[in-house]
Amino acid sequence: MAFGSQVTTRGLTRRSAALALELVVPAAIVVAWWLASSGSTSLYFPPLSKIVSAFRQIWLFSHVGPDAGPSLEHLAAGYLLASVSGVVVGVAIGLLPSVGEALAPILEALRAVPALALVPAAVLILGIGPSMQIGVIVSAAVWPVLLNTADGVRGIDPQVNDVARSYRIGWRDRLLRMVLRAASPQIVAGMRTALSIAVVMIVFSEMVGSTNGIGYQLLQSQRAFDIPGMWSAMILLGILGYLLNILFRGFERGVLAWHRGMRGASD
Amino acid sequence: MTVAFADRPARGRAKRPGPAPVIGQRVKVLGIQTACVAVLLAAWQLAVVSGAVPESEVTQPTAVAHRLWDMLATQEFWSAVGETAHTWVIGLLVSLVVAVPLGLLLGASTLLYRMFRVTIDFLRTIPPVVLLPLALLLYGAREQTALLLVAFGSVWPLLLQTMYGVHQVDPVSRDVARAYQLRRLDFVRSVLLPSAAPFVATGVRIAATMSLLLVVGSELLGGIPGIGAQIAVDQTSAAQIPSMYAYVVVATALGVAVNLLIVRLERRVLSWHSAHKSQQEA
Amino acid sequence: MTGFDTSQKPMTMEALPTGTTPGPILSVRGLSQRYQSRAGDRLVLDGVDLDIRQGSFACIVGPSGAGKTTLLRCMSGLLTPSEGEVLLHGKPVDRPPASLAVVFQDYSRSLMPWMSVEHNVLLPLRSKPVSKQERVERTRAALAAVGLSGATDQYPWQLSGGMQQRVAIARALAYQPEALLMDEPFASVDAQTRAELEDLILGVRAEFGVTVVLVTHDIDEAVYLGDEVVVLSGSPARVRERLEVDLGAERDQLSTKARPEFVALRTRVLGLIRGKNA
Repeated sequence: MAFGSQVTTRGLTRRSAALALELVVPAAIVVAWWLASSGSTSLYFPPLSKIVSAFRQIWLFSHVGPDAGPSLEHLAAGYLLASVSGVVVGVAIGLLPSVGEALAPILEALRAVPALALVPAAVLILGIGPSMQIGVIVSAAVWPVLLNTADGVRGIDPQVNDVARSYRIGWRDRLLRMVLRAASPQIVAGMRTALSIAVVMIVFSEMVGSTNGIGYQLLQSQRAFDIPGMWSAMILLGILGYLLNILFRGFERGVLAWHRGMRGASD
Repeated sequence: MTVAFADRPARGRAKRPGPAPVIGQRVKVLGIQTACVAVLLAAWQLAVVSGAVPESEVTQPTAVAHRLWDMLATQEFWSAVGETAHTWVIGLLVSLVVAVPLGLLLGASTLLYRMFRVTIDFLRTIPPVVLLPLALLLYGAREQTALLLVAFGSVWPLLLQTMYGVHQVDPVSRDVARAYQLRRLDFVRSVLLPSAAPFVATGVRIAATMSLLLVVGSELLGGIPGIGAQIAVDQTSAAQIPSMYAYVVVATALGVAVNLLIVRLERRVLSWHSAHKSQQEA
Repeated sequence: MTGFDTSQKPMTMEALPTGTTPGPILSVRGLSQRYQSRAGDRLVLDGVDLDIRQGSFACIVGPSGAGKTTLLRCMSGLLTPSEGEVLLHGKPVDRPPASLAVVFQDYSRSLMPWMSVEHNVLLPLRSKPVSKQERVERTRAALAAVGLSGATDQYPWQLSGGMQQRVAIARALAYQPEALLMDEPFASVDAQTRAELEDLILGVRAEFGVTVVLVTHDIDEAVYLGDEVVVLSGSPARVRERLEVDLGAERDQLSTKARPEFVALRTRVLGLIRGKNA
């Protein structure tokens, strides 16, 4: 048997034990929920079995097209728009510190506006529908990206600038291969916050002003007293949030591989 | 040796005396910032007055200010603000009481951390607004609904930050505690808590912002008394649109004020930390 | 052993034998630099005059904090001096010129950690009007010249300090400058690595015929490497003296440093630095 190799029986057992440790609590919670609610007659906490069958009925697959699809589309559109504009403006502010300083109080105030409070105003201006939803997402999610980008660009090592000037590196390379890459850890951190904000905004805006979407379904089920339907929409949103997070982590791992390696080397 | 630019002054930097330029500089910056704010407000005003943006949708800043001034004299205004503030504070306190001890425990015990990691990961990505319909069913249009959302939303950032803070305790401090055989209680009180405090403070700041957002949001959608409810009511009538914007301004001001307060408090309580930190970076 | 590849064909530059006296490639005239601080203005450099011969290896030596880095930054076009000027082939330098390349002291901050070794070397070439093939070729040759052919796909933080500095040198070489300006390049590595890198730079200069201006606080290094040593000292800093190094073209860590001429020069330099520093 090879020493220290992962393919030993002991290695495999250890790894599956580690995995089991991580999964035992979630599994136990689901089982407990199932058991505790199985005979339930409570109006608001129906048996988990009913919720699961409602989930299968509604979301697999009749409502995926008309509801889940638009929700995800609008979320993606709003998030991308927020990220891109946040990065562009953030880089500009970071590279021009005097501009950043002049605009600082305005940016701080705009960031502090509780985005959910602006949704009625957004409905007034943009009506009900996708443009309102995307607008609402952008108005809230752009701030963490923008401010983190500006911070990241401002904090770039001055030596990077020296190298760029001394080797007369062209502005395109300077921007894309030096400034953006150097600030990317901060930018990605901002994008992570922006993602959870975007999800909150899409759900809320669908509840307030929409005719379709998962959030809309959620509220409609509640109003129609379709409690299992309501719970299944909640579970779907939970799962989606989790999946988006995992996707984002993959993205982060790819973009910041160099940064992890560098930090690991200095520890 | 002849010097090519003998009469050129030292690159535009004339000799200036000591501390005075620092104050002068600050005044200049403040002036520019105020000017930018003024320009923005003027542009907003112009956009509405010229008709580029319809007045039925966006109110002029002067009208908003005027309406706000009038509102300050009404009972309705202050009770709305009071409700929101009340729910906010209670919600934040509840999440503090739940998240910090839990965070300390999970941060300290690797076993527990690994057992609960997946669960926490899943629960914290649930958008808090998802609970609103259920909460409305359970509690109706009352404060408890908003509290439920606020508590659920704020617990996670606090929990995560506390756990992170515990992980960041300097291993050297841990070694010192073990070498001097510190009792567990003393270790927690004198080493663990102070080390984790800055991170907890960041968590409080994040949680405070999120709580305000969730309070106003749940009041808005659920009709619970408070600033959010006022906004929801005001948006329905054309004459009340200025009030709606006024309330948005008030909510923003609340957020900014509390943030400043927390930062100041943090600076006072953790003064040792910032000083310590700047020495390390020197 | 130095570790550079002498079997490589020299890149397209004439290797000038040291000892010939062509005109100066780089000149400094009456350069002064003032820094503004809360306590008032501080004069760091006062009327520095220098001529660097083409093909020469010039070492500027002085105590730490004397303003050597400031002088190098002015010479490389990164800093515009308060007074005076820098001339490259007789023309004033007001921004970094295309025929100068700089090697910075802190390699960990001057190399881009998000790029591989190869891409770090390649980066400045992308802004030069050369074909893609030529870029790749130059990069390969430069990395071979510093003995890092095998490290092309590695990342800077995966390499030791000495290797990282070699990457920085390769980057400067691939740029094919007429003059190489080096700011205390070997100060952040251990003594062993420093000796290797010193011999590396001597070999590189011999092979490619590039003019080198190296700033250092290490007197031994300055005398070992240089054809001429410029002593900068005092506060504000001035050129104390310029010394010709008569140790010949062949240098060796063991034998050269034992020669009486070396010792005499070194003593002279130390005396100059100390003596006027009252």
